[in-house]
Formats: sequence, C-alpha cells, structure tokens
Amino acid sequence: MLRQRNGQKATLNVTDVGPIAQAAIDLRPMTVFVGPSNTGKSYLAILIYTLHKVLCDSFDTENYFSANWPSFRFSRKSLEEQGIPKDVLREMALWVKDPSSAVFTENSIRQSDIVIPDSIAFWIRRLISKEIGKLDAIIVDEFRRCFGFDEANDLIRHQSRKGLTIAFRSSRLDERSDGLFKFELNTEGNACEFVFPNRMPLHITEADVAVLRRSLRRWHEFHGLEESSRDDSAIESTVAVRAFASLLHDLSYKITSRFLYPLNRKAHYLPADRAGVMHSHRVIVSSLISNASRAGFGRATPLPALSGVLGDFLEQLVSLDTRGYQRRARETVQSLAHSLETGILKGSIHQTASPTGYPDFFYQPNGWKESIHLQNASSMVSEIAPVVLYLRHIVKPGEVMIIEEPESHMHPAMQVEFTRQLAAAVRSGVRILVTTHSEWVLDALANLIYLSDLAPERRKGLEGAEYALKADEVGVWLFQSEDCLKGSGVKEIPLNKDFGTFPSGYEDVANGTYNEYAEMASRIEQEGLA
Amino acid sequence: MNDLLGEIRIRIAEQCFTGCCSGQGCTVSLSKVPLPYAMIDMDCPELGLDPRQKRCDCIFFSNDGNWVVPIELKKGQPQASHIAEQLQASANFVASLLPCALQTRFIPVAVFGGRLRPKQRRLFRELKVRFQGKREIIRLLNCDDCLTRVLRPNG
Repeated sequence: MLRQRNGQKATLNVTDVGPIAQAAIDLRPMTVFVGPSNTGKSYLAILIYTLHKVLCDSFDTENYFSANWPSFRFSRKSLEEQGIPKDVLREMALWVKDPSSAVFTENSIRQSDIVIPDSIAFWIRRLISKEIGKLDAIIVDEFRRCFGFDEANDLIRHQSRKGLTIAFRSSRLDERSDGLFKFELNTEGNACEFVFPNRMPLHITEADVAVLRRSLRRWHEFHGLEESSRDDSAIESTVAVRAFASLLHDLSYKITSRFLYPLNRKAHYLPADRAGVMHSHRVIVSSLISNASRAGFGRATPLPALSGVLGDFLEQLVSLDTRGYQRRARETVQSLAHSLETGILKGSIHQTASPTGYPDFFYQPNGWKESIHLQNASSMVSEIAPVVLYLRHIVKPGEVMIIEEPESHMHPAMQVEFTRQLAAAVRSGVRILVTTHSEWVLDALANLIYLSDLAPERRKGLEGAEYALKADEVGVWLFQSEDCLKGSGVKEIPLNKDFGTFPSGYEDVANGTYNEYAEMASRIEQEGLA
Repeated sequence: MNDLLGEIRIRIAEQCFTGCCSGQGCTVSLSKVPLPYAMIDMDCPELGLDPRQKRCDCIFFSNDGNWVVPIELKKGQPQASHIAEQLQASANFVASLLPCALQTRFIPVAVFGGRLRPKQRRLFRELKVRFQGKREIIRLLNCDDCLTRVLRPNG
C-alpha cells in the first residue's frame, strides 16, 4: 500500500476532462505523467493546479474556519442561526472539562487519535460540507482562467454524455471510510460537495494536539466556571460561546486540512516553453500594459488571452521582490536553487529591478566578471532560470511545484542531473509533479528508487545517494489513448525492478528503430553476398 | 515448391508442436502471423536434445514467407551474449533438420518483460546469429508484442 505524510493516501479520480476519458491517480511527493502527446498530461496537471488554487488560495481552511470569518463568527445568535442546539454546547463543555476525557489527560494525548464525540462531530461535518458546497462557482471560474477557456464547459470531453467529474479523497490508511470531495460540471450546471460517510468517526491526530492545547487554554478560562458550568446560563455565556467557536474552528481546520491534503497546499505551475517566456516576457507584459492603458480611449487592441497558468507564471516572475530576499530565503528552499546553479548551469541567475520596478534577468557563468542578459544565454539556461528563481524566492517546503517537460532544451546528462535535483527537492519537503517525454528522466528516477533498496551506508559513491526516493514516494502514470474509452486512460506503471526501468512505452519506439536498423543491415549484407 | 512445414513435421515429434510461445510470465502474440504456421517447444523432451544443451524457448515456422524464427523469452535482466548463444544453438538445430536447398527467411528474436537500457540495446546490435550462411541481427520485442512486428516482406 502506498503512503503519504502521516500514512495518508490522496487519490484523484477524474472523468471526461479534455482528452481524458478516465483517470484515477494518487498524488505522491513525486508524481510523474508520461505518455504520447495529446493524451491529457498537461490537462490533468493544470486541473490539479486549479484545485490547489481553489482549495488553498480561495478556500484557505485556516482562515475559512477562523472565528473572524462571517459564517463562523459565533455569537449566541449565529449559533442559533446555525441551528446548533444548546445540548451540543453542553456536551462540548463536558467533553473538554471531564478529567477522564481523552483531551484532558496527559497520557491520552500521546495516543495517535482523539476521537471527537459523535454529537460534536455531526456539527463539524455539517459546517465543513456547507462551506465546501459553496465552492462550485469559484472552481468554474478558476477552470476558465487556468485553462484559458471562454466557457468552463469547453473543458468537458467532446464525446462525454454526463459531463466531467472530479472526486478527491485523502485519507489515512487506517480509516475504513473517508471524506470525499466531489465536483461535477455538465451542460446543465455544476455542483460541488463534500461527502462524509455516515458514522465516520472524526478524530484529530497526535500531531494536532499542540494546536488543540492552545484552544484548550482558552477553554481553561471557561474552566473557571467549572462549578456552575452545568448551568445553562454559564454554558451560553459569551466566554463559553467564544471558546466553543474557537475549538470548533481548530477542529474543523484540522479535519478539513487532512481531508484536502495535499490540494490545500500552495502550488506553482511552471509551464512548457519556459525559455520562450523568459525571452519574451517583456514583450508580453508591455503589450498587456499598453492595451490596458488605452482603456476608456477607444477600442483596445484585441490580444489573445493568456491561460491562467501562463499568466500566474509571468506574474510571479515579474513581481519577484528581491528586497525581502534575505527574510524569505530562510523559508524557501534556496539551497536547491544553488545546487541547480552549481550542478547544471555552471553559473548563477540573478535579477535586478529596472527603474520602473520591472525585473531584468541575468546569467553569470562561473569565472566571468560580468553577467549576460538571459535572452543571450543558452536555451537550457533560460529553461532552468525560472526554476532557480522559484526555488530561491517563492517555493517553500510543503508546497507543490508542477513542472511541464523539465527535460526541454537539456542534454541527457543534464536531464539526469536535473531529475536528481528534483529528488533533492522532494527530500526537502517540496512536492513535485512533472509531465515528461524523457526516457532519461524516467531512468534517473528509476535509479533513485532502486537506490533506496540499498542501506544508506552502502550508497557511498553512488550518484544521487543522498536523494534516494522510496517507491511509495513516487508515482509514474502512463497516459494512453484507449479505443474502448474513446479518449485517454491513465494507469500507474510501477518500476520494473528486474530491468530498473519504468515500462513507459518508449521501448516500443526504441525497439522499432532498432528492428528497422536490423532489417536494413540484413538486406545490405544480403546485397553484399549476392 | 518449398514446404517448410512439411519438412518440419516429418522430423519433429508431434507432441513438440505448441499453439503459443510463452514462459516466465511472458508471451508473444501470434495475431495476424502468416498462415499456416507451426511452433515448436524447444523444451520438449522428444526433440532429443541434451538437457544441458543451450536452446531458445520456441521456434516459429510459416510456409507463407518460409519464416524460421527462433524466439527467446526473458523476464529478467538480459545477457545479450547468452541470448545470442541460445538462439545460435537453436539455429544450428534447425539447420541440421532442413535440407540445404530449402530457402528460408531467418529472424532470431529476443523478447523482454521490461525496457532495455540504450547500452544493452547497443550490445545486441553487435551480436549476430548465423543460419544457412547468412548472419542476422537479433530482433527485439517486448512481452505481448505481436511477432508480425519483425516479420517484414522481402525487400
């Protein structure tokens, strides 16, 4: 069984998205999409990015369930509006006050689980479901934006009869049933819901205990009312209601966080043809500004729309703020950026702000006193430069980097080295998703997994020894057109340990060219004999 | 007129003919192969081969095109030279059965359950199997591939 953080497994099922008829994938720390062109790799990558945008940026669980959020601004009145009965308040009070309660005892908080009583869990489920149910319109808008479609329905596979569906499940392996995030879009409308199976126990984990204890300190204020707490007036007092809201907030946040992980983490999308963007970003941005400045003075020049992923990428690059670099560098994974510079670029990337604040990007080869403008550097440098800048200034551990075709413009040796650097990023806590057509990337990845079969002391002297990846940290998914589905299907390709390679379909191409050569060699030899 | 299958059926015990070529969790698809055809199981005791003698897994024969195709199946990591020896021994076995005048098209095939690395594929390029005075480079297939991929019409 494949595991994630805290033994969690995150599964995404989609149907009828773009060219994809059906896909069921696990999101792992290193997720790789391979397969022929036009089978939906980028579609699924963008879809995943969109879900991250919605569930992290638009639906920031920490803030969403904050007591300051309007729907969670608990007052006696709002509790009544939510329909939360007094009995639940009373039970909540007794639960946390009871010295034998799992929450209160030092011994019990070392246990892995604290089960929330059913009556309280009922309200938590209801609140989470209600809030997530409001996300459908936001998801539709993000789909349109990220894919660059006029209508979200354009995302539905053409032959689809039912419309697209997305189902995401992130669960602990020891849970029999788990929460399910669902989104459906068809010609008649869209719907979003979060389904908790009936009687599913809600619990918080040992790791969450520290947060809960902070809430409990607030409850201790209320605890001063211990003697009279069974009195309804005390339980409904302002202090009690606030404490209740606070605890409910923490519990809801922790529970939702677990069910949506890792889609509730920030994601960064680095689209294909990064080199082209790095060379032309000035032209693109100046065109956009020029167009915007004509607003109100006549018809603006029609510009082709940028897809959201490209727009977000450009926005991140042009808004890089070097002034806060030292502060942010402590939080980002800048050492990885440095490794890319030393291991692949053989030089450094830096940017300076022009008088208008717009950044210029430069490459300084090792040993050179002067830098050259990025557009005068090799395509490989331009391709890697944004990755370096993202790692140095933007990406933090726990966040997700989605990189399309990392092999572009790279010599095979550099592809292998870059793959090791991606493994290093995973080791640093950054989650990676890549789409690739490269046999070299897959072979390097296979070696990194193979390496983990060796005890650490026996890895000495082997390339990438410090970045070995366990098989359950990596998922390689093959996209293939399937006649029976009338679209693409997606299946996992496990590492073939006999060969140390992934059966990616590239062997058909390699065998084909090899056999072609053998046939020609045979005929040429026969000609010589004749 | 050549009657390759007739020559083979005279010389090989009936129980050594098989309908498919499979082993070690690997099989070769015979979909759309030229008909009529026959497949010999090279592990068949009635062939009278010394058990210690090298041999491939099976040999495909077809009258349409006069194909003689020794096939070696490998699930694990391949050793190109070892496979070449197995195919060569099988080629020698067939050559000893057939009249010299019989014209055939000989294609030695190795079938794998995984993806070869480029270096391994280069090794195969350098190895050839001799049959009836000609040398043939070993063709490569993956498990479940159709044999027809390597059966090309005469150029």
